[in-house]
Amino acid sequence: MTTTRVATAQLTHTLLTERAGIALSAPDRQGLLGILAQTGATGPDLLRVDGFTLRSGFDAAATPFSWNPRLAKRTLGLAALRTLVHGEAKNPLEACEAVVDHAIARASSGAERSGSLGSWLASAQTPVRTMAIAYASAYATELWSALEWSAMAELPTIGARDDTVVHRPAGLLLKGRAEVMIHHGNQRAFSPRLLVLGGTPQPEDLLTLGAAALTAALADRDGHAPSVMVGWHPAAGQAVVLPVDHIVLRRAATGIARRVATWRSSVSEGPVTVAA
Amino acid sequence: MVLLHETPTPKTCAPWQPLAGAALLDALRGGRSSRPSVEGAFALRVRGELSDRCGELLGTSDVAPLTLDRGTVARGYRLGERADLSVELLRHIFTSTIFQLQVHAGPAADPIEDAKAVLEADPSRRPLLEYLATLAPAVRRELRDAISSDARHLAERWPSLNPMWLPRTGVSMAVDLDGGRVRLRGTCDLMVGIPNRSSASVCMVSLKTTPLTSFHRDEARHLALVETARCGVPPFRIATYSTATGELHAEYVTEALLKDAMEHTLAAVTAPAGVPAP
Repeated sequence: MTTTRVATAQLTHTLLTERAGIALSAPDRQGLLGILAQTGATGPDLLRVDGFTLRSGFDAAATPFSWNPRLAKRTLGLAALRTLVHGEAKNPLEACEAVVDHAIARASSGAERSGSLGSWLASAQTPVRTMAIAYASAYATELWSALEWSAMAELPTIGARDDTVVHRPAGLLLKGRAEVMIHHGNQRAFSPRLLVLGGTPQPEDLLTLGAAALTAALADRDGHAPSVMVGWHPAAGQAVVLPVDHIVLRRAATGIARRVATWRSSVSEGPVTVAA
Repeated sequence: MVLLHETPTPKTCAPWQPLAGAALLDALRGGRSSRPSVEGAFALRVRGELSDRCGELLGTSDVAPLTLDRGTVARGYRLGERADLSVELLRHIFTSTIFQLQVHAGPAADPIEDAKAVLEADPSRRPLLEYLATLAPAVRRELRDAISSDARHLAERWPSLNPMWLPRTGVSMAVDLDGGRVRLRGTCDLMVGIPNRSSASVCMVSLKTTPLTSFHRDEARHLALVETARCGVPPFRIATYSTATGELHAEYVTEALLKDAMEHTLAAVTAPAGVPAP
């Protein structure tokens, strides 16, 4: 299992390079779920395992979530990027403004649930909304200019829904995200995935990327794993490239199990959980 | 041969006026239509060369990871990880926030209240606002006057930026060198221009609330170095703008400038914490 680092300028080439992908057989799948189950559920509630909790610790999920301009930048920025890539907006700023207007209109019409991004934007003061647009616009600009969209035979999926796996024996809710999924022709299986990560490349990226690949493979009906995971750090101008194979998935499962077991043994009661 | 010396005729100079509007924009862009020559190969080498030389300077010594930001490098010595809370820092953060809002939505009717609303919405700014609440009324009044003045100057002088130029504010940069033993980091207040992988086309602007000094020039150059190490392409122009005086210092990014910035950065690597580099 080896990772390589590439510069932002090589991102598109890295994502478009064809690689053989793997598909989990039934025994493979059972084996991975078995590794995760070693942690043992501690109750009926599920512990959320995703890039955020792996990076920040499971206690971080205990803080009640509330939107702010920084937290809104990814969702707004990706929605804006979609309109840019589809040629529906001329620049990131206008794209973000349109996305925010649309979200507010939906919230005003009652189409958004309470606590949603749209509801928060609708109730936020104008300068707070402007700052959300500023953050999202910078985010969208970085990603828009990092990839050569015209080199892609098919438009990628931008900001798809998170992969979700509920593993009751382990008491885990696995969530996997990807900012961009590349498609080779009509093939949806084994799609290379790009994750946008903060700061500079770190050894922990391996678990972050591996866990997202594992979740994608377990969530896929046919057990297809992404052929490669690319963790791009825009602040650093570098990306970590992790080709996915069985070893990567097994190590990710082991890494998650170890983190969860350590955390569960450190809390005597009242673990941080999420409702199923 | 008789040398004739012409007695200079006294001339009356018009009082200096800060640049504003289109003139400020022209100064930010510079007069050149062509890009200054920074050899592509050199720009691509910046990260590797910096990393190698940091490794040579630090040797095999077991030092804690070192974070160098633009202020550290400009002053030639290392400070703590976080700037201490101060009235000056409050002014800078309020004015920067007002600037960000203006870049994206134009001048506001009540910029201070707008900035306060934005800072209140950001949990990471809570200590700053708590510190603000502890200030004596007279200090707060003085601070409000200073920020009002900054905001008024920005509204009067700062040009609106075409969204097609991709203005983006608060852009974070971080580059690890020598296997993470040294981290260069910085935040650019404003970047304008299309990030391009093949030629320099970005203008980086730093905002200051004090009169400009040579420290600020070095800070801007350090940011240019970090951006070059990050992207492998240097910025086209770097500029520092003072809201206090209306001064603008702008320059093209050249190979010589980057080499100079590199030496400043490397000097800070070996400077002991809190001690100015020789």
